[in-house]
Amino acid sequence: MTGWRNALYGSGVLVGLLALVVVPAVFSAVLPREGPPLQGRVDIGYGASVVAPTGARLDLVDSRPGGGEIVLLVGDGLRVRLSAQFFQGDPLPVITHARHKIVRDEWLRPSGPPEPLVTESGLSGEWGSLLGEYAGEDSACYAVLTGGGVAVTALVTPAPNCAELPVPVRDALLSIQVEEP
Amino acid sequence: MTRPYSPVRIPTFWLLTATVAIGTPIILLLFGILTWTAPRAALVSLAPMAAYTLLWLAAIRYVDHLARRPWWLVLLAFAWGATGAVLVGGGAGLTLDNLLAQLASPEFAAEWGAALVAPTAEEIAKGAGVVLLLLAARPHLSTVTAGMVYGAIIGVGFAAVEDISYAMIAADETLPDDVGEALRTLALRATLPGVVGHPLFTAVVGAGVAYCALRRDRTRARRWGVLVGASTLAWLMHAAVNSPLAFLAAEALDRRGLAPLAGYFLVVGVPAAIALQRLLVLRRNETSLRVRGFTGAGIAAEPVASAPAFGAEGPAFVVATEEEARVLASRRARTRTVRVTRRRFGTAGARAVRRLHQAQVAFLDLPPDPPPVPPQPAPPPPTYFPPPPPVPVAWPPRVAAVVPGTAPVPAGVPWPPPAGWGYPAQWAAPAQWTVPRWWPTEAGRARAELAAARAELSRLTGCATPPVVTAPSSPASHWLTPAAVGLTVAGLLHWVVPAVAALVLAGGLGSRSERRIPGLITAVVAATGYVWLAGVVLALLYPGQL
Repeated sequence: MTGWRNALYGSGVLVGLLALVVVPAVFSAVLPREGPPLQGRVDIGYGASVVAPTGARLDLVDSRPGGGEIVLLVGDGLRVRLSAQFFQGDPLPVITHARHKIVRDEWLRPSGPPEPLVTESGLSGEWGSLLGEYAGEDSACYAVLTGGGVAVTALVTPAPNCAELPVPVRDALLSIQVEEP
Repeated sequence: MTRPYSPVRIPTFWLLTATVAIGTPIILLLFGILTWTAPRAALVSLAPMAAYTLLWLAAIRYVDHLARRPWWLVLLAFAWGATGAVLVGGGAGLTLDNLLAQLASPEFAAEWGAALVAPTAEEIAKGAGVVLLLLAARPHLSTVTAGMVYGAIIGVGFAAVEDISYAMIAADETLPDDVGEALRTLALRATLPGVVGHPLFTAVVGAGVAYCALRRDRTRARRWGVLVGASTLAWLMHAAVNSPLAFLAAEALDRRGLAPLAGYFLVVGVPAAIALQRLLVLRRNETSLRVRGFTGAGIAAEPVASAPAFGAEGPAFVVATEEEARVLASRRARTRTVRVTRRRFGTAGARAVRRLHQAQVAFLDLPPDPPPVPPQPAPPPPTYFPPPPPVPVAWPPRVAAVVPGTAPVPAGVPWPPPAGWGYPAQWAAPAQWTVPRWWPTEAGRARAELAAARAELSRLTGCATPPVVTAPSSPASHWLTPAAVGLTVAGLLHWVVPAVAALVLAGGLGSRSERRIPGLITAVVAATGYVWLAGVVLALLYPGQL
């Protein structure tokens, strides 16, 4: 088969593949992105969980509860991204690397030295404020906690600094816990 | 007149090439970013990944020993798997996973997204590659086996990019540039599913696509049914690898102190064993059918109107005898013949046998000869004849002419002009004439090479055919069948015993009872699990003999 028919069939296959990518994205954009209001403890994954702030909703697209990452939508435009993963050995390099990853991947820079953070369940780590690299970019507050062989990273945006976090969000960070398997 | 095939004249070839050309810098950019985040892990991971890829390609070549695949088509298939299929599969996987989370729930997407979405998006993307190859290079994909082979190559390209991406992402997960984590991820992804991976999935899809497109002797319903069935089987295999079921099975056995990996392999391996067995049987049947045409009249029974130097009309040209065809169909038999020849006649003899095999295999993929130029009307006779040149003034020559065998003619005697001087009385032009072919055809070249190979073999070994090697008696008649029966029983025991024991002792597999299964039963069941896996390997090695 040559000529126009071959071109038509080949183009049809490629257009079909493009549709396979685009059509679900269009449907996803039309559907609501926020879930119903959350209550109680939400599973992050790898044994880690957090008590959702009152009225917080789950970002359905970016969250995979139990899979290691959730995004809570709090109040008026506040996003709290929480992720968890296993680790072995000394927690200090893990915490340092988590901070470095946030700064590198989110194009942020620390506005000051990190401060120690201990949760109600005994997880320990650090938290600190971050500024956008460029003017007009959101600032953020991050936290990295370790315990029970699990590292939990939290990023709250937009947040001028960690000291000015809304109380429900601060309480949520302090409620993070890790259940032993 | 039909022009011979050339990919540059096929529009889909250029569409495919353009898509690969657009996808390649995107994939390289992705690798660049991952390398920037974990440079040492990238450097260390590259060599094992390249070795794994080459191993897969060598395995495909070993299975596909009878065909000559054009290097540019193999490269195009690999490139599609590594670029287009990855981008489409990844993009569609992401959007479909998001849609699943919104329609069902994020929890469901976290648990089952990889099992439902990834196989759908990725198998469609890879299968589309086989469709594009069929459209772009139809003469080179003339059998269902070819669809299987190119599908497997697409899968190898896909797996190479996917595995190394996962390894480099893992290297940046918890610690900076964690080489150990990268290698661990590579090893897990390469060995845990083992042969059950993208090359097998796409080989099945490719065979289905080729069957639907090429087997016009079958009904439309059957062709589309085979395509749907093959795609479903590939989807099931992929879903089994990604699903939580396999890990649940491992976990269930582990909780009872039993061999956990056996559970994983059983869930993953059952559909894969079916698929692999069907593919190997398909390849064997198609190979046997193709080499059957060698014997007797062979494929060159019809005389070729070519110059005598490149082929001859006359008696049918035999490509291979019955015994040679049997040897050609089996890779092991070919290797055995070469080995025996090397032992009896040295390296030169072995090389001659390999040359003969390659010359015979060349007849499998001969492109059709270009059609002869049809007979054409003879050119019209010239309507104007210029006057013949005059007889020379100095005629007759002044010297005596001597013609051997005749009496010398004395000088001065006029000679008659040579015979044929001037024009013939009547121009006798044929009504039609055929343009002779003065260049060698593919078939003519193949025949010449076959004849040369036989001559060389005859010179070195004293016989124009390779030595007949008696195959070892079928293992099935000795130990394979009893072993297979025993292994099947062991496999059943491996699953039945813990199920019964769990039901009796602990009230069900999901029970949280503290009562443990006695250690002896645990050991026996674990041993039978691994023995059962050995049975699966035997079934794969001897697909037709069990």
